[in-house]
Amino acid sequence: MTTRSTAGTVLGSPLWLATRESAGRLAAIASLSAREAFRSRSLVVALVLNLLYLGLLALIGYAIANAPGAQEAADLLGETGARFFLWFALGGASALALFTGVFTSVGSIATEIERGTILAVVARPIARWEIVIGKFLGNALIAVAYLLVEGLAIAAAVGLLSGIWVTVVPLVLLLLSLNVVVMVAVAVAGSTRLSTVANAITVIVLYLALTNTAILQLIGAIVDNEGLRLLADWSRYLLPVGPVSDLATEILLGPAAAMVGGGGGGVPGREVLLPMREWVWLYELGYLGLVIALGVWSFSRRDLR
Amino acid sequence: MSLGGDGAPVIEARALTKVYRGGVRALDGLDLLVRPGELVGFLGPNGAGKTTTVQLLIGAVRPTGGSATVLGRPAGDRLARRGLGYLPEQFQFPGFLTPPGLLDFHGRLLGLPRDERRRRAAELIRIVGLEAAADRPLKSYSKGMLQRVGLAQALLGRPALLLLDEPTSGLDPIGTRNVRDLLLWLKSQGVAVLLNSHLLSEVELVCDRVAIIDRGRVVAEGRLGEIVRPSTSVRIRAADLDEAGLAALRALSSELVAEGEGQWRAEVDSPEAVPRIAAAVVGAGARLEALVPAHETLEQAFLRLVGAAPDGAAAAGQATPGPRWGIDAEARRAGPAWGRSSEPPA
Repeated sequence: MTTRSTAGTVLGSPLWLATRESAGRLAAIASLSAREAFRSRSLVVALVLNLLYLGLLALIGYAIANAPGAQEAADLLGETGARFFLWFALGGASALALFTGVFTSVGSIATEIERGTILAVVARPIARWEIVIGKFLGNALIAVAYLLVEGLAIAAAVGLLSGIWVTVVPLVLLLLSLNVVVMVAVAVAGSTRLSTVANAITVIVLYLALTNTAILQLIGAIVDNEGLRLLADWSRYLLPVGPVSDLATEILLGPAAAMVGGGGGGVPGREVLLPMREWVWLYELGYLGLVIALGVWSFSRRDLR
Repeated sequence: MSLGGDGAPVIEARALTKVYRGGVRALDGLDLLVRPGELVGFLGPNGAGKTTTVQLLIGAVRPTGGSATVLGRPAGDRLARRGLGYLPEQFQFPGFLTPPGLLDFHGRLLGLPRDERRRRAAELIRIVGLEAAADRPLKSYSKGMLQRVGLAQALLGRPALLLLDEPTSGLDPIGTRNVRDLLLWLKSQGVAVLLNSHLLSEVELVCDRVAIIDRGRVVAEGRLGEIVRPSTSVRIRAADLDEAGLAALRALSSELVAEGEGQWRAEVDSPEAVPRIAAAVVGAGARLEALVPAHETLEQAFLRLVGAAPDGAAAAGQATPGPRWGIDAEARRAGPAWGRSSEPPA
């Protein structure tokens, strides 16, 4: 009786009602954003590229299976071979999902401001943070769903055809999804200030610059410059997508990750590899929160015209 | 909590100022007052600051000086926006949505329960006359149809205050007349409306008061009779008016000009001279056929107040209010169905 009455008090409290209303508005913005993303040209282009990519994977798989000595190689490599194939396939799927998420998100708020569609929305009893987070959730949902469906389908195909089921795939997909979510958050936050085109250029340049610092590491190793090595190592954390990808590679391939640069930023040879830190996923979670907070702060302070 | 329901102004702006980056002064000490249930025309030339004012009232932009309250709360406050309906000049939306889908989205933002959202959406679609096209995506709609959808979304929350930015933009004459009819009905329901329109004849027909803005300031504000200049010119049409009668008219006017067979224009000092002119014509044994005081139109007053040269064109003739979209004769008498409920707007 007391429990029921307490529950009734909580459910009827202004805080609970406000939370429920806020959740409703978030869901409304998120679902509309997801529907817009689902219908965007970016997604159509991504799906076409994806079909081409899956076709390429099928061709590679067929060529490997029918190559001379394939059976001997498969017996020798065992699960490692399947893991390498998955690394290649999931890497591509992850990149496609990431860029799909970015391209559907870069104009998510900027376009609404440019077209004036935002005005009818902000005239409603909605907080600015609800708009930013709703946009983020809607776009992230589509990109992550895209990655998970494709990633699990690839893993299932590999399992069914080879009989080898790689159990770490869900964990790897979780890390790759975190990357996608972070890139969507960066794109949405950028769209609160920049035009769609400027935001797209900024996000892509940032991504390319901060996920390829291994080149700097290599130069540092060649010229034996500790400063360059430190810069290459820590600048990656300005956008921790690269280090988390490396962690996913490490989990998927284990010690063999060094052969493909996993855990080292893409440079074969341990002596020039960037250090891998297992806590990086936790750092990326905090980074995600910070980026969303910055986006909310930025959007809350600007005039919508 | 009271949202404009206790006689307090629904809009009160004092010395409202907005300077955009780069030094563009969009508003320069604007004062504006709208009371509950009033229909106020908000007029001004392009770039005068009308849109900035409305955007400030909904919280889309922030003032750099002065203050503004909406429904008793600071402009932009979330509670104030709960009682607000807004139709932007260029109402935009995702083209794949249908009107019920769009209204459902806005209903969710308003926190309406699902059944209520569906009920209100159906009623508003009927009121704006889009029932037959309700299943079509908005991208297939004409501009006038889209404007009607925009009006429906503005009315969705049963607002106490409506901010309408060019609501007749893109509408044909019938649609324009229907908007006018709708506005008059809303006024009868106690809904306050700030009407931003370039159609001065429309404003003249429906508004209680007018505020004219120029260069970010209200340059004139008041009832129409206070804005337009009193009549100083009277047109007379009479038959059998003899010289004695004309002499009597000359005595009452500063100038009497013949404008054709049996027609004259008399310049008088004040409107009070008009009945004396009528008495003089009849007293001279002539048949008075017409006596028309030539009022300054709102358009002429507007052009005078904003410093533009009047072109002499008078505002459009007065049209008779016609049927509301999708409302039959009986419903017209009583107003749209949701207006007849015991629940007050907002």
